[in-house]
Amino acid sequence: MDTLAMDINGQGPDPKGPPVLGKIHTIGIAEHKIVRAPDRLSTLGLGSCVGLVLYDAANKIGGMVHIMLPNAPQNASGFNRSKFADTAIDELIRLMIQSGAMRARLTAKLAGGAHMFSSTCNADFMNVGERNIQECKKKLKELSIRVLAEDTGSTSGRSIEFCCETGQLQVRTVSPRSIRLI
Amino acid sequence: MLDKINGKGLDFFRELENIGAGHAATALSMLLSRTVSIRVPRAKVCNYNEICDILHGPENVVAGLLVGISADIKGFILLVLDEEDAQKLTRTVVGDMTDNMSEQEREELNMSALKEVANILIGSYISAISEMTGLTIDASVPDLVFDMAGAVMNLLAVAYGEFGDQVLFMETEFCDQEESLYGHFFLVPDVESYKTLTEKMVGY
Repeated sequence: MDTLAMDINGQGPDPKGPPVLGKIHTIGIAEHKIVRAPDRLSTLGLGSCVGLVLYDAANKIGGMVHIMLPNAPQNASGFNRSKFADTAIDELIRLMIQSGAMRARLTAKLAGGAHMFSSTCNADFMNVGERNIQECKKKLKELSIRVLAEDTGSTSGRSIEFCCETGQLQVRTVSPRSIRLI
Repeated sequence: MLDKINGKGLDFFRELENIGAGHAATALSMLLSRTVSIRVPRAKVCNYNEICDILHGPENVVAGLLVGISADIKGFILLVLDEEDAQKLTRTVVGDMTDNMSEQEREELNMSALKEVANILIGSYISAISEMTGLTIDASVPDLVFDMAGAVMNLLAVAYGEFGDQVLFMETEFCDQEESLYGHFFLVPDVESYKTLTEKMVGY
């Protein structure tokens, strides 16, 4: 078993990172989760979706959301707020403050927003990765939350894992095969 | 929106897939000179986090071949194969043609062979559906990626994401007994086109 597979299964230490500590909480599309150190947050197979992490380094509280689309429908209610960039970030902040994080200390990291297929058909729809990233950054700027690192765009799918102990975000791709920490 | 699709609607979609994938399987069996059969098509409305289950999880590496469709029905058709199966299929088609080629040339030929196979399969899928419904459907040139199943199938979630937390999941699996080669067709009409399709349901 190679190192990537080992790490995906959470069965071995990451050769480039600190030893594996805590439990891994994996979230699905349009889901969110907030955990404290030493636990970790993960989401798998991000394509045009964006995995966004907010972190309070002093309290070691991290929150992750798997954002699918840039904008929530206008004048609608009762939708899943974690699905859209323009509502997911507000929601995550609110929940993190509830969990004891301090608003002023929050910083962000983001990954994903790939352009998976180069098809010219349906250009608007195919561009959704790029629009997701732009909307996330716009929203973070409005909220004065600093983006510490990002691994976005390109044509590769990504899996990410955030360590609440170190504040590091591990980004894995399979094409080309790579693991890096941001 | 999608929750309004009833049992009869799903039956109709299964019939569409059956005919589409059936024709594609015939085309593939002619290409390979072997029997290729299809499984009973699936059509259901499900949560988008369930999509990757049939592809062995979001991190499984797959070949995704995407063809955009336009004219009377808009959306796309996705052909997904396990990485290994995609390589098997390519080898069968290309044979020993690549023996004296450089790594890069071989890679290019393999990719273009796989795209051509997708072109033939998806082409027969589309023409069968078009004939059955009397709708005009144009297809784009196939696009090929090798990546995580989750990242490839993201497209399906995004297609229906604005309209709710569920997706219209239409899938047919085909299988070549000898090579145990599996593939999955996904028919993904956009929400407008799904209405156009259900209008054609009258009479079936």
